[in-house]
Amino acid sequence: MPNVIVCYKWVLDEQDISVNENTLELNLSRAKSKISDYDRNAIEAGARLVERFGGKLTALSYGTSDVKSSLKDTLSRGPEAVYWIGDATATKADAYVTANVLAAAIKQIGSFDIVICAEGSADQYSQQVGPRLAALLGAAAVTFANQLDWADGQLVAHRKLENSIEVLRTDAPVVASVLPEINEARIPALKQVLAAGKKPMTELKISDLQLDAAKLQPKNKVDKIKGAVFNRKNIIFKESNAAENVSKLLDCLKKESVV
Amino acid sequence: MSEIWIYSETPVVAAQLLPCANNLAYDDTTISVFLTTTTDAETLINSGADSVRILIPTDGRPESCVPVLAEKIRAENPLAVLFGGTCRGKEVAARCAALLDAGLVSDALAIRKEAGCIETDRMVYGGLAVATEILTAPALIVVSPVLLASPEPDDTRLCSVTREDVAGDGTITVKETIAIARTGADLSKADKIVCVGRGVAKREDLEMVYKLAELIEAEVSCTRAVNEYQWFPPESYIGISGFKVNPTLYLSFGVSGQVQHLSGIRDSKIIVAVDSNEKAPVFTAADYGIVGDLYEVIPLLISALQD
Repeated sequence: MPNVIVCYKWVLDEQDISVNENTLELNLSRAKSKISDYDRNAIEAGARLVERFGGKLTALSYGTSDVKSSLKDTLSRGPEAVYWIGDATATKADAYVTANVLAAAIKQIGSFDIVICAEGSADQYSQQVGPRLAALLGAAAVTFANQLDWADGQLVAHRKLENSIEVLRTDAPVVASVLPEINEARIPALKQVLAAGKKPMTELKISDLQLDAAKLQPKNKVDKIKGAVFNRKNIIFKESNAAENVSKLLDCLKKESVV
Repeated sequence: MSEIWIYSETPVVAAQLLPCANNLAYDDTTISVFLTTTTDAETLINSGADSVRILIPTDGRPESCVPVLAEKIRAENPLAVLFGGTCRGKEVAARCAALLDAGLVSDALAIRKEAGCIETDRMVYGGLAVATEILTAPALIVVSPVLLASPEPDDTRLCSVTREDVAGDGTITVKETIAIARTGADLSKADKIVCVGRGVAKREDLEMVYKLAELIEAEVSCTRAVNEYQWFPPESYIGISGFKVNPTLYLSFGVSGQVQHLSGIRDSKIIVAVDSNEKAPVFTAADYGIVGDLYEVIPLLISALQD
């Protein structure tokens, strides 16, 4: 029966982020947080594994102190316990720092058979933390999985590449990163939401993780983050007469030689 | 004397990274390409590599070369390592970075040499914003495939080719490889694309969309939301987690334009949007648009194009 740890990230909802049209600065002040969309599928993948094959599912997250707000939501999705690290270093953490912190936390939590991550996070989408964790933990790496099974004490994964699916089999310990298509994440029922509050939530302090200061320093310096610009012509026809709009549009497209 | 390295298990992807490596090179910089197959090594030589170094994974898994590749990066200290942005390439890059205690930029859209440093741009927040990062050595970068065109070959070039075998650790075994049957069109190569969004109410309505697409010789695709209706082959939608396209003409109907979708179409030459909601974000990303009912607009377009 596999002992499974799923990692997730509490991210700003990009739908709430606005871009100043003149300065291209991002306004994050109105953004609410959410469990990263892809991580909902990762948590679901862990929940389904233990529902089918037994074992135990634990969740783990590293973020700022705000990550505390995510714990009940996470626990209502299947994990029986959650560990969290709320630390200011997370504001500037890149995939290097995040993987260092998560790997140290996993060592502290104890042994595991499978660590599950999403393919990437909804905010940074670096697609690095899963395979980095495998390297740091000395575990097998399985990336881009769209199916996970546990058979005879081994993980069997379908890994989706550009033109083929590889069926992989590996001994534990293994770190698997999963694609969002692996499942449809459940919407927690009221009963699960209520039960979530009674499950254990454990805070880990970064100072207890025995990490060198250098491991908490991001490697690449973020120079700036600016709203993506679409330099387009923005010629929009909005007369009430649809036929007129269509003929104007076709005139333009003919001039562009695309029809 | 400095070196820039390229790694890809796919030779054609490695060749596409050569112009990118050249942009970062100084006069005395040599460019080495690491492959995991002997196939097409010549193409790389002809396309501008100074040396081709082939690592042959004896278990057949390119990923098994990670410890050896990471050790070579540590020992020889190249200025930058560019990894081809395939699934396997992304895994290899991330595991190498972890073994080297190094940073890594994923899916860089632009790479520049700036005041002795390497600077990259990449999308964050689902394509809403672009992050510019200044890299510390060794600069490890996964290069997004949309950036790339293959260089012109020159078959008079000479370069050295070395080859070594690399044994895997035997942890992972590949039981089976199943080819993915592509039922839909190859959107990444399409010259014209018609895209349907949630504004298209029923599957039957696709008939008029296909009719229009046929008239302008376009492929038909959809947004991630519509992909969930299963009207199209699975996973054939356009967006940051799906296909990134660069057609001459992209024409959308009933697409609102979430950032994740827009970042998949931003390399299109001409973007045209038709939607009933004047405030739909797709219009900010469009060259031309019609605010109106697609059920009125499509038949009008069809009859005008038939004349």
